[in-house]
Amino acid sequence: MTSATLSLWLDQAVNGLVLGNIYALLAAGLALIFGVAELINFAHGSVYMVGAYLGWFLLAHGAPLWAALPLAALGGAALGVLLERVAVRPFRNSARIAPLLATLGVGMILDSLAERIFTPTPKSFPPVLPVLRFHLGGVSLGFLDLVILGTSLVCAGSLFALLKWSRTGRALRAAALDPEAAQQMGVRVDRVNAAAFALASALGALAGVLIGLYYNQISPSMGFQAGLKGFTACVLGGLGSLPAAMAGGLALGLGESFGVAVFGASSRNLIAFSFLLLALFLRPDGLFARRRPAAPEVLTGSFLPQASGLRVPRKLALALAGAAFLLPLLNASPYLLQVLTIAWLSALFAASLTLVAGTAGVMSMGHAGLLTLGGYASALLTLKAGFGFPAALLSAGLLTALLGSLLALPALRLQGHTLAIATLGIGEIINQGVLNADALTQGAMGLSGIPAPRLFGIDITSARGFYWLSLTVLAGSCLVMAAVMGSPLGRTVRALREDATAARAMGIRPLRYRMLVYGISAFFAGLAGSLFAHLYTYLSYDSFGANLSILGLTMVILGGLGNLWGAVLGALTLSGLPEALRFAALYRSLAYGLILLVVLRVRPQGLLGGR
Amino acid sequence: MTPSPMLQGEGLAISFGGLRAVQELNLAVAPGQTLAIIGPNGAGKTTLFNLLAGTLRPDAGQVLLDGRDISRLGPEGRAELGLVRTFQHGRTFANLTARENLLLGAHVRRRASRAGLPGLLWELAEALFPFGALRREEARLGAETEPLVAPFGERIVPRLDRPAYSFSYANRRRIEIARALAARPRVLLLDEPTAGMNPAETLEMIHYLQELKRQGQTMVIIEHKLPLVTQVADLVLVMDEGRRIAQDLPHRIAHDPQVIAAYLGTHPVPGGTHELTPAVS
Repeated sequence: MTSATLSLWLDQAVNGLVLGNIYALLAAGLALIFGVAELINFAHGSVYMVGAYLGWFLLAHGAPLWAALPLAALGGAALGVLLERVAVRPFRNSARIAPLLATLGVGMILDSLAERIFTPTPKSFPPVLPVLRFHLGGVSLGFLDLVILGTSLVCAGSLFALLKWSRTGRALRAAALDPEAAQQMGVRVDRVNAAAFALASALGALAGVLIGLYYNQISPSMGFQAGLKGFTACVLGGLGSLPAAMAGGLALGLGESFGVAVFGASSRNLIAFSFLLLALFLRPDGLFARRRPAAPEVLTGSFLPQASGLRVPRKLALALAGAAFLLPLLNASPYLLQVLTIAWLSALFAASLTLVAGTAGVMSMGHAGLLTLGGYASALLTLKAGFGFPAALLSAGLLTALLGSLLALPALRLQGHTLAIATLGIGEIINQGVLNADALTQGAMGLSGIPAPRLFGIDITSARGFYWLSLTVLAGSCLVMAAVMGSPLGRTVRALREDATAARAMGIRPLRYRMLVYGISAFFAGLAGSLFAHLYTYLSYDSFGANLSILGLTMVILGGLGNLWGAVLGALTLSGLPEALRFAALYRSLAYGLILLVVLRVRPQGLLGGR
Repeated sequence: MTPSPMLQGEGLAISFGGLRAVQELNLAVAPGQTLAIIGPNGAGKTTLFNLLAGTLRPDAGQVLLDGRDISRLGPEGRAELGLVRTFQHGRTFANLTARENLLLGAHVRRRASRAGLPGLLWELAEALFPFGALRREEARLGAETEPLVAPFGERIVPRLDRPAYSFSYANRRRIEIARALAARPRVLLLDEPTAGMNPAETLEMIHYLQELKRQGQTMVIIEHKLPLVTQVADLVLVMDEGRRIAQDLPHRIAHDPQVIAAYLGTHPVPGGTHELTPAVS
């Protein structure tokens, strides 16, 4: 190895270490909250984004860095306390997934508020640090690197000291070990939770300022990816241990940095999330976790109540479907038909999600990635392989089922929170994979000129035609999905959701059945993706992003988990209502976040849920 | 010559951290035999069940079913071979109906439960084409599993289509036992089948188990209640601190000084038969 390449690798190592320290701060916050409140805080990325903006605001108004850092941390802590009040405390007696989804809602609200206040355009950080470089042997360190390393080391040190020696720290550790016993001993769980959120959010906000300094640029949408990086670090290290999570952060930073050196900058996120899946596949308990005894008697059915309650009678169902089919003949405007077409396709997506989330209890949080798979499959097959539309549609479904369930294989071996994170990672991997496979997908340019569907020799280009096509596919798909839910397969999968340990004792193989249902769900998501592609005629790697995954979950929860009519109603409400009320696009995600919070609070079983 | 054992545990051991939950444990159950496992709380009885059923992997030792080493199989694989269990605290599928619970017990008898691609495709076919020959098996299993709860009469039979959570604790345990039987197990592992039942209900459960025994069902039962042990078991294995401290015929075991010591402390109490029950309940 020449000395030039050696120093290049050393530089990458320093970069990785610096970035890794920031990830470690993020991961420490997540691990702290997970340990104390047994909750994955999906708003953590947004807190970090708010921290970054706080830092930017202070620095841009002339505050010195030594003041801006603690002030941003303080702001973060206040936000953390608020977050605990709004998204965690009210859900203490709900299903364990409820506060998780509530933090998701708060994250959406924070992101859209930031977009409203600071505009979506990225802001650049003012240059506050002298451009100094130190050379130590072959290693070159910037002043900024030293500040980041110093800050995160001080933070980690004070966090450990606090946990070890202070009263609050003792209470936190006690609550993490055994919340009920801690409560008996006089530890007040609400206050401990609030303290954990305050501490974690202070760290998150600091990480935000540091990343702003590091990349010199921040945007309102930066939180989601960062949150996911934090989860990745936690899972890499082992969920629930603070030092392990921080070590995971360092490992992630280093891995990413070396990966970028080899594969180029656009592969950064793909590398990070591939780490996530690989780590889950090889060591689901984390790289640094000790082997724990299996806990066969721990109850597993921790998801929202199944909403099979309200059944739509067959006559009413037929009447509703008939009315929907006749609508275009009643002089409906093309605009209305277009809005409803998108609603039907969203409903197909939501129905596929409710199948896997409600029936199997697999909260698929990256489901929109399957739309990307289906859309690209269909577009590429028609554009490059000369497939006709019906064949492309069907192949898109099958390919999505096959690729989707293969990708989900490592995730589906997991349970509960880790499974949720892993599915989130799947969505990102698909989209980032499409971005990076530019030979096939034209990368960031996207695919344009996707032909209109051609059926029986007729090009479907009119609003009316597309409306009927999407409604037909939706109705047919729902009939099949209803059959699956009512079949022995549906029963077997519901048993797995209720109690995986008992199900295994009955000879039911969890992985096989989760894969099967995920595959069926992916098939229908693939159909929706294909139809979306032919409707929009243009597709890019971020056409179906994380926001859509979350929106899908919101639709499904609004309608009632596991209820197909609920999924349709949820999709109709959430994709139709903003059009009807002519919301500005910026308020839309704010409204979605609020709706998610309110539904979880007021009617957790959803609109059509029974019990 | 005694028949070769149907279920065997050899040198089973497992530790959790420093706690040696099961140590050097041997057991053998002959076809048609009923083995009762008794011992004070924390003796390792349920852990032993978890080792036999594959819910836990032992640190040492092996489990044999019909002479075949099944130590490497998970709980699903063992259930497929006919080793089926119930759980200490009752684990019916709460949001599924009693009937669905019974049908799930029969899962290993469905064509679709076959390993590999054929089973998978069969499962898919049954889900997508819900008619004709594909659903005949379903109807047959339904007809075969329903009678399993018949002995429990009015408490369960008229309410088969209610969700399991709506049944009382004792009835959920009855459903769970019937669910295990729906698999037509070679060996049935019952973890405290009468927990939460009053004396009359316990007596009824004793009759139920005696009937199973008459039909030739091989069983291993963890139980605290002495009447059940003496009236159902052929052989009693006593555990304490993870070890087997005695194994004998039911009417003799209560007089074993080591057993009395384990239950009541170091001083044997004369006529210990009846003291066994209150000391552990």
